[in-house]
Amino acid sequence: MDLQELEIIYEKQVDGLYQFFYSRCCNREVAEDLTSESFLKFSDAVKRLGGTPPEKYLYGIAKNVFNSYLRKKYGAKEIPSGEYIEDLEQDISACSSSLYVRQRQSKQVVLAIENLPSAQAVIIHEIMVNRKTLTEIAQDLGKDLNYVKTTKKRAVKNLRKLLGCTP
Amino acid sequence: MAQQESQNNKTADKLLREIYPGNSSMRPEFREELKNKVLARCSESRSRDNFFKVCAMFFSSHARKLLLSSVLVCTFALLLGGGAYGYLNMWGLPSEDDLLQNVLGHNSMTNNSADRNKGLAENSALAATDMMFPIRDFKYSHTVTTYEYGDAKGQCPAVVPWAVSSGSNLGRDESWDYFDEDDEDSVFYTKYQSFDTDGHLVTYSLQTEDGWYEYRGGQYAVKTLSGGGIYPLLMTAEDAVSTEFSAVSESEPEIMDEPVADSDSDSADTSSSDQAAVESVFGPDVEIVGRRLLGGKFHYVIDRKEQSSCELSKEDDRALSRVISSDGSVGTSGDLSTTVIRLYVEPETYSIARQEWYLGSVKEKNLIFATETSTQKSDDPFSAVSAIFIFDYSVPVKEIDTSSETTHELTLDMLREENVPVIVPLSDDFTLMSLYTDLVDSFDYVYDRAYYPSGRFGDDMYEEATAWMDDSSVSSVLSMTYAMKGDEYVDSAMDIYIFEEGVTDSVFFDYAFYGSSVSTGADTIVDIAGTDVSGRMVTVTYPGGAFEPSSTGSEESAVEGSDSSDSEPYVVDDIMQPCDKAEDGCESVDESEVVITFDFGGYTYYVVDRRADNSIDQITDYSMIPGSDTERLQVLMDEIDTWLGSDYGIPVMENVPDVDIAE
Repeated sequence: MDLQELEIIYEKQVDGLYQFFYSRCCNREVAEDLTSESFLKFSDAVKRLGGTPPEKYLYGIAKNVFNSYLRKKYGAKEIPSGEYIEDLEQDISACSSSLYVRQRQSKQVVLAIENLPSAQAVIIHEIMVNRKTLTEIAQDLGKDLNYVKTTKKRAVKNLRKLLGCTP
Repeated sequence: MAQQESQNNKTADKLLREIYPGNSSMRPEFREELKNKVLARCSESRSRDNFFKVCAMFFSSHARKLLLSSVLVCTFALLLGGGAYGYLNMWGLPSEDDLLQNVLGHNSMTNNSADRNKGLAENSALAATDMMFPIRDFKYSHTVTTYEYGDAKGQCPAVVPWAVSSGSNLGRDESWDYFDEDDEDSVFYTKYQSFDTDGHLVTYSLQTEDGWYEYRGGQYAVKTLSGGGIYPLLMTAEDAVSTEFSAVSESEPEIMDEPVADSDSDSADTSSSDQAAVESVFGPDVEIVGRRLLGGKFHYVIDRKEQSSCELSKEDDRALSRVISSDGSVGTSGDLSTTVIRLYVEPETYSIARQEWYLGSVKEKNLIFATETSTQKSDDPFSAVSAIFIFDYSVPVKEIDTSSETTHELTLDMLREENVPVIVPLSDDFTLMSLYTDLVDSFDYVYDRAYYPSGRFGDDMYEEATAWMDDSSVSSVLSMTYAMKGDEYVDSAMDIYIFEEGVTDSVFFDYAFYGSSVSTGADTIVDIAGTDVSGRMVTVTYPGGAFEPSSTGSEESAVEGSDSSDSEPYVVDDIMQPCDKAEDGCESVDESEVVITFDFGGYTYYVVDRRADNSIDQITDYSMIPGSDTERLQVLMDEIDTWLGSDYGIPVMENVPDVDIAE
């Protein structure tokens, strides 16, 4: 692979790869670090590609970089091996879409709800899962709007802590 | 449609922006710098090419033979072991881990008993969006659940699902949903209805493309007009592969030379995640009891135990407050009792066919209640099931438009008619994020007796729906929330409340802050359009939530790192975790805000400064827009819509070529 080809791949993949990491880490610095590490490893390895599609190779590196990051940060592993690679490709591609990133963040928030104090969990559940407005929630709960606002505000603070960079 | 759903999605989107603050985009300078680094690194590596080639030629012939032999031996061993395991497993019970993980993966589950209560039941047409996502590998589903009650029902009312507060209980509920994520419009329809044990309709709801229908059996139904498609949080089979609770796939990715993570530690880590997921749902006290016949077919039987109070809280027995709970005891009071939940699991699909709740132990006399569920799933196209998602009742339908346009229009009318002086901070540092009035109510049908059926049953429903109204002590004429410019996605900075004159501090603090205490106030002067107005400034303290102390370094939270190069244990949780105050070790964290209050133009104003520094410089000077000046007020409201309509800082990724991932 010559430098021109490498540059083309970089231009095609870097944004999606960055968003892939960002959607999981919700932290620009971390996402940039992981993107950087992935591409630098890729540039080291381009000579060994043989007939392998470069994008596929890059995704494989990204997967391992992300796994390594998770292990170091949480002592836990999120990503199973095997068929995951196919989804990773789609995922990185899909991460170019802000809608996709939002949907993924939604899932993370919903999964984190159960760690909130119950009153806060109810509010966030109603917003994220049942897609209710604050007014509707206030009506449902039999509380006034400011109760909902205040509880939501507290929940947001807690969720930020919970999701600081939760995989 | 739009508008209501659009508004609802905006609420969710806004929440996401608040939770995920900051700019999600890559810095352009970083992008360029990395590109240069990558290209430079590749150039440098070219000079090392010849050396690598020589090494590769030397190792290739010998190493490949050795590697091939190892792979064959390992594969044979794995096949032998797996076959033996499968043979043995045919005649016995699956391992506890396997069974629980399969049940988790194929059912919508929470770890508490409250999910069967009315609050969730009313929304359980969205049951697939429950806390734990089952894999959704179908488009259409129809679920029927029947409820039966045992002798111990009266001893544990907090656990019993209910229909109306008078004591009538849920007898049957039924839900239908259709979701096709492949459809470019992401079609999502859902219908739910429930009946009490006497066959009375309790709740009916239907989500269609153009609105959300609700019916309670009264003289009319309500249809809330909705906006664009809603996005159910459903997990498809594909999603499941990439989540931490998914099964480990057997095949390795074809990524060739790039070293793959150590498989042993990977498996252990994944297993650990699965265990955590299982325990979070089933709790620590779970046991596979054996197999029992149900409907002429053997089912796996699992018992799990919960500690929860059987008494309904006097303070708040509304089911919604118990919908989501980590320990099943929220919203209840009194001593904790052991509840045994027995699950009957269909052995082929792992679906939960029956659940029984017992007080103390599994004995017939201890049965509180039981549910039996049957679900049909299919991949039918929408045309085959569309007739189901049509409003079923021949009653008038009242349409409600809760769009921001309509709400703003009604609010403007109210402000004009009452000629409410609306104050606006003079500082340009603020952005108006929201404007709301309690006086424009789109949901007044809830308080209309005609919305409920006639007779005693309807009386009870109406009473239940309106019981909380006595608690509502005051309505705000207007409440506005401001953020600091640039921090719109991070936090609110100031709230301005306008009430009819005469609202007291205690009433306001009860309205805006719960469980708060107030320090004695000091006099202050507020400038409104050049007029000095006397006011008072007080500090209010309120509970900010409960947290577990940081567990950094604690034995429980440390997990051995899987990276062999690092023998230090990694700490899983190194942050303060929110927790329920009922739990041991929780610490309350108080927060405080500065509040300025004054009377002006026949109204009482409260300004809550929510900024961290609590400096008052910018919150004592205001301009004023009279309620009659609808033109300027409209401009104010348009600012909110402009803000809500933005992309919340998420960049649209333009100029990104399509990647052909099929190659």
